[in-house]
Amino acid sequence: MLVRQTLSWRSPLSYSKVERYALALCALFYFGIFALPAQDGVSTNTAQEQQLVDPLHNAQMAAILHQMDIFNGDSATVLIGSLLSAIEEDEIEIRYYLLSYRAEVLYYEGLFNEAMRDLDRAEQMAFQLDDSLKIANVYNLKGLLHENIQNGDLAIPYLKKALHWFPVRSRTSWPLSELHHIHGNLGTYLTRSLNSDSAEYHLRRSLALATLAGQGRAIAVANWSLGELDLELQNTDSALTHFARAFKGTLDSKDQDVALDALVGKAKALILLRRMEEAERTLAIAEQHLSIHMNEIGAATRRNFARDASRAYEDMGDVKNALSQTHVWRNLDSTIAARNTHQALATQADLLQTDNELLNERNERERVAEVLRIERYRRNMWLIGGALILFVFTMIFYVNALRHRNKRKLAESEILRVQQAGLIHELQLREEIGRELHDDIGVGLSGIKLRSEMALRVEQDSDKRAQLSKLAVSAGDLIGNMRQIIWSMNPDQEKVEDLVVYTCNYARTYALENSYELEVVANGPWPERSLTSEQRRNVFLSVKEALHNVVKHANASKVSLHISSHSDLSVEITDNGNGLPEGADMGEGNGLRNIRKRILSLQGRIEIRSQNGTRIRFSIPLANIGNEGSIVGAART
Amino acid sequence: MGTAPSIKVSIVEDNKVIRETLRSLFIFEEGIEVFTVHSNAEDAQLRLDGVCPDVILMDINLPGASGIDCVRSLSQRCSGTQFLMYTVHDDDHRVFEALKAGANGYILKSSTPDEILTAIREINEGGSPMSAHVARRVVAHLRPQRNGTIGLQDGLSEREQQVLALLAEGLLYKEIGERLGISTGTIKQHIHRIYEKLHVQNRTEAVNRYFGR
Repeated sequence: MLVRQTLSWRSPLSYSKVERYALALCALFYFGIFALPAQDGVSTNTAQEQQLVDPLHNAQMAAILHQMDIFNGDSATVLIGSLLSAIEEDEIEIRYYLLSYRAEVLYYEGLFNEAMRDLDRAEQMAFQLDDSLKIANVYNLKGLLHENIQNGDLAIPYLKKALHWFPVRSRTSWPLSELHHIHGNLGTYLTRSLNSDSAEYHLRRSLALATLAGQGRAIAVANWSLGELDLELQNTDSALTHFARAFKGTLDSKDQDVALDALVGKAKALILLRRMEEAERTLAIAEQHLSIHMNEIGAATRRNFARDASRAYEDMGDVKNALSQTHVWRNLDSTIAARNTHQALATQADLLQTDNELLNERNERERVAEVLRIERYRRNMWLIGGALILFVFTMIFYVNALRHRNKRKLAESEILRVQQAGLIHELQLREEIGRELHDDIGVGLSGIKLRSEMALRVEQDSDKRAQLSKLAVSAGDLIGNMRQIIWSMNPDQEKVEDLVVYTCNYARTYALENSYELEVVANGPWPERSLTSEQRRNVFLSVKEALHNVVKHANASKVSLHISSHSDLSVEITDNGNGLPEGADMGEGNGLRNIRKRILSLQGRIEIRSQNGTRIRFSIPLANIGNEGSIVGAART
Repeated sequence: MGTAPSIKVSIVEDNKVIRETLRSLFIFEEGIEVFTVHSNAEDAQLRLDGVCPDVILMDINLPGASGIDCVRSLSQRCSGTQFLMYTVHDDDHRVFEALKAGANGYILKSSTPDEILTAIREINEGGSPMSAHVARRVVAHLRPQRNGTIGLQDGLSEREQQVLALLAEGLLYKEIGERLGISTGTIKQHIHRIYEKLHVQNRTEAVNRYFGR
């Protein structure tokens, strides 16, 4: 890096990697031999020199420089990167070195922007460290960078700044730019911009400093640069001198490219002096030199040599050699160009491939997304379909269940109806059977009664009369009882009013037959309720029993029968007879007990009192039994 | 009763004991002569074709055609004959049917021979018995069923209506007689007329049924 800048007015890119690193190595080698010892005893006005504290870091730094020396840019970058990440943020000095070295490597790779970025950061650090040498180094590198990115305007100011900043005494742990480098670069660029006076000044300075530093290559390069300047100024003698010195300076080193350049320069000077044969001879030596050291000389150098040689032969009028050199030049040019193009194409291809890959990846992703979308859609459809089907089935099921329930309800009500009809039928049947039975028996009994009574009409004998009478009476009683039973079962007789009428009628008939005065009070209105046959029978028989008691025991002359109805049916039978015997208040007598039993079986209440006669009072509830009373009746109506 | 002609009585009764007993009863009774004796309705309809007794003592419960049908058919032929239903109980709706069909009265089979003879004489003279039950049935029957229908009630005289009402309440003839100031016999005559009107009503309904209204 450093040496190269001093050397060449050509763009460093035109040098092959090999050349560049070789130069760097040489520089460092020389630097290592001469510069380091020179640092001893030299006082410094810079910031404290720091040998890196960590010996490991030292070793790594050495390795980095070694990689740079053997032109391994990638390895160097990797090592620099790893060391950068290994050290602390506050180890600014070592970071500075690493950044400036990396800038160099990047610069060689042609990655100017990245190099500039590193240099910007290095500049910051240099100012932070307040180290003018480091500042100057950065400016030198920046100048080189700008020159190579065709910003020549900025190059010279940077280099001048580098000069300005360069300290009188400098000390550094690791290799940085030297003053003669800066002068050399400045001189070269000033030559290019035809600022010959300044150029000469700087170049002489560079030469002087290089000589002082004892750096051979630097001296040779400076001499050569001066030679070139002389050629520009047509100072041919001075040019020859300088070129000779330059050539001599390369004998001890491996700077074959400098040697080649010096020879060509000499040839150009000789041509100017019209000393053609000497020029020719010089060029031949140069060609020989080239072929001997072919491996140590890069393609760019060879191309430049071919170009210069062809021009020189042309000037000499040596068409043949001129043509051949031109040929070589073109070849090398195209090779280099091809290599660059190839490189560019390769990069392009890489980029394209990357592009392609990206595109493919994107397509792939899109495809996958599409597939996913489809899958999701499909799945959603399935879900919806499933849900729909489920819904449909649920509806069907529900409707079915509903229908079944209705059907079942219908069936149940049907069954109920049939049951009721059956029940009704059964009751009707029972009634019919009862009636038929009764009719048969009744007829039979009637016959007996009639017969007996007939016989009684003609019978004189009192015993027989008694017997016949008893027979007739028995038959009559039986018939009467049966009639009452039949009556109580008769569904036509189920209303409250029917019971009342029947009972009163019976009471009146009985009173008539037994010659007592009967008062009947039974006034409506009567509820429209129906009574069960149990109610009718039990109520009627209770009244019948009570009246019977009156006749048998009470010896009464007046009897009253009161029937009324509100929410219940109340009956009261009063007589003015003897009353009940002692201790019979609660109904000890058979008849009274029966009455009590009958009334209680109807959930009724009964009260029997014996005071100035007998009073039997009872009532039965009508509420619950209400209209359910007789299913048969309900059916009939 | 020797001056009045004998009452010709026919007997329709399926029970042998009763039949024979009745026959002997009537035979030995003055003023009543046995006209015919039948054990079923068909026999009666057959033999009473063209000839009619004064009173027919008709059992309701007959084998074959019922007493009611017999009454219905015979009353057409023998318009002057009094039909006295002879039944086990009077609470039967069949009694009422018989009364509508043309019977003029009824007696229970549990009646004594004297009561039977009295009934025959009464019915021959235009009197009829009626129980409370039957009375209520008649009242119910007469109640207008629809608005505007002319019930038999319209055709009953006031007296008849009174008697009917009191009977329906369950009063005995004696009590009714005391209330209305008439004799039992008069009451029975009123009843007889009520029955007659019942027949007319029944016939009217039957006719209307046939020819449609």
